[in-house]
Amino acid sequence: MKKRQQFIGSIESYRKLFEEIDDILMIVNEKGMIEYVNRALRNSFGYKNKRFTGKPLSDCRLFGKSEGKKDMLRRIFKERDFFTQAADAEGHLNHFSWRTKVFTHEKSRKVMAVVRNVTNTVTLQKKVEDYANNLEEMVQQRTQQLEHEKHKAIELQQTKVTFLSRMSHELRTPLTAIRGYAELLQEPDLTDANRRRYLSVVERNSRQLLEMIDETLQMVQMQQKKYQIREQAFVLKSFLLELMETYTVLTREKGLELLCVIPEDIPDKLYSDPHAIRQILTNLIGNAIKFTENGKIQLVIKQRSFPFKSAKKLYFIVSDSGSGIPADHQRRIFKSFEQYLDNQSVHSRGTGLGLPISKQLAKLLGGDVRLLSSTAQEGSTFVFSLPVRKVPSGKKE
Amino acid sequence: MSHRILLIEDDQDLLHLYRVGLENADFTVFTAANGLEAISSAMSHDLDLILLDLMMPLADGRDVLSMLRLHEKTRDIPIVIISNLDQHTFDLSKLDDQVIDYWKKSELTPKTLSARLTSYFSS
Repeated sequence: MKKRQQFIGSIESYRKLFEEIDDILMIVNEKGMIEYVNRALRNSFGYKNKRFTGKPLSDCRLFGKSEGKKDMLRRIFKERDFFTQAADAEGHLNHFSWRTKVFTHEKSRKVMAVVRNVTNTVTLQKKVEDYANNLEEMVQQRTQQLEHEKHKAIELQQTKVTFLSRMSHELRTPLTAIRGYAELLQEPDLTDANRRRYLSVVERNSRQLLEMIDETLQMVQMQQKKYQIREQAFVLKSFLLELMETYTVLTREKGLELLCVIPEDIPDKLYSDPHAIRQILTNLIGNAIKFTENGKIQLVIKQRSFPFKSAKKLYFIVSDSGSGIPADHQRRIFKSFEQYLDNQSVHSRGTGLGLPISKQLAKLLGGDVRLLSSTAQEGSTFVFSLPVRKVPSGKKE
Repeated sequence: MSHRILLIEDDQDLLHLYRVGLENADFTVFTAANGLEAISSAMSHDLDLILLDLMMPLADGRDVLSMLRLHEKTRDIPIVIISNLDQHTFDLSKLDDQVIDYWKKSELTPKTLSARLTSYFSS
């Protein structure tokens, strides 16, 4: 009895000191009423003048709303060390760490509690945890990304090696012919007819060689995004007629019919890159002639307007009656260097870059090149679409 | 009697080039521009040697090799691969026992081809 009185007495004598402590110190009786609480509780919630002494524990926002009076009493009397969380008046969640000690004073059981607001620590800890989790996820994602990139790099490296090896084969073929025919041309008793014939072979093979080198360099420029289109105004109809003119001899020699259908309503002038357009059409028509042994090559121009948009598009449709493109080969024709990944049985002369370059050029012009249809022994149809753009004001025509 | 050569080459310019070169050096030359022609030509002539290009349409050089292997008449004809492929891109020893050599076309002018064949037949 004496001991307890001393204990309470010591609380009284240290009251001043308790008031200064940052942690909340309180004594709660068995009915859940606060018998003493220091200033820290008021400070903690910013209630300057509110008094909690003599108020129920549930008034002071230290427990969550779901915990009733019974729960609170059970916890403070039974659990010595626990955490609670409760929203303050502004709805922010606070975390509290409790240390409790039960004692008996004047025959009634009471509890002395030290409550510390650990919201900052918990928030920080949660941030660290989130960050750690995120970091792990980020590391995982990055690792996956790197794996993927590594795989791609290896594949690209392989493609490049195969490409170089196949390209050197392709470049050596015309060189072999040039060198060989140069030797034949040195024969003293060569007929005039043979001399002319050999010279034309040398000329053709050197042109092929140059085309292959140009195509390869152009593709490299495109892949490095260094290729630039040069737009200008030009007269479409005369441009097309001039282009078709260059094919009349070639098609006549092969016994092929060459048709060009230009509707009346196509725009007179176009603002685009005529060199790029010529290259695309040259490639499409050139391929058509190359893979067609008899029948006809057609270039049909169509114009389409789009409702609700002022934009118009021109379609250059190139069709042939040639051998067609095998189904398993169709998906690869626009992919640069990819034919080189195949085994050697699928083989066509040249760099194989003509269609990939045409497609990329068309895209730079705001259009596209697509394979419309292809049937074995019946032929293929390609379409090159191009947006119709008027000559910008202030531009030279 | 001149030696009888079957020249298998799909590039028309090179086919003509080597044929002229070989004929100038008094070889008897038969030609084939693809694998199928090559087989039928090999079956219908008595040949001393075959010059075989590897990359061809309609049965490439490898297919031609395995078909030649099947027939008694063509089984033992010596074959020289002529190709512009780098040699490291294929394994010569895996091709066939009949293949006696690999000659890179870019090194093969009509005269060097004839000279190599003459030296092969005289050894």
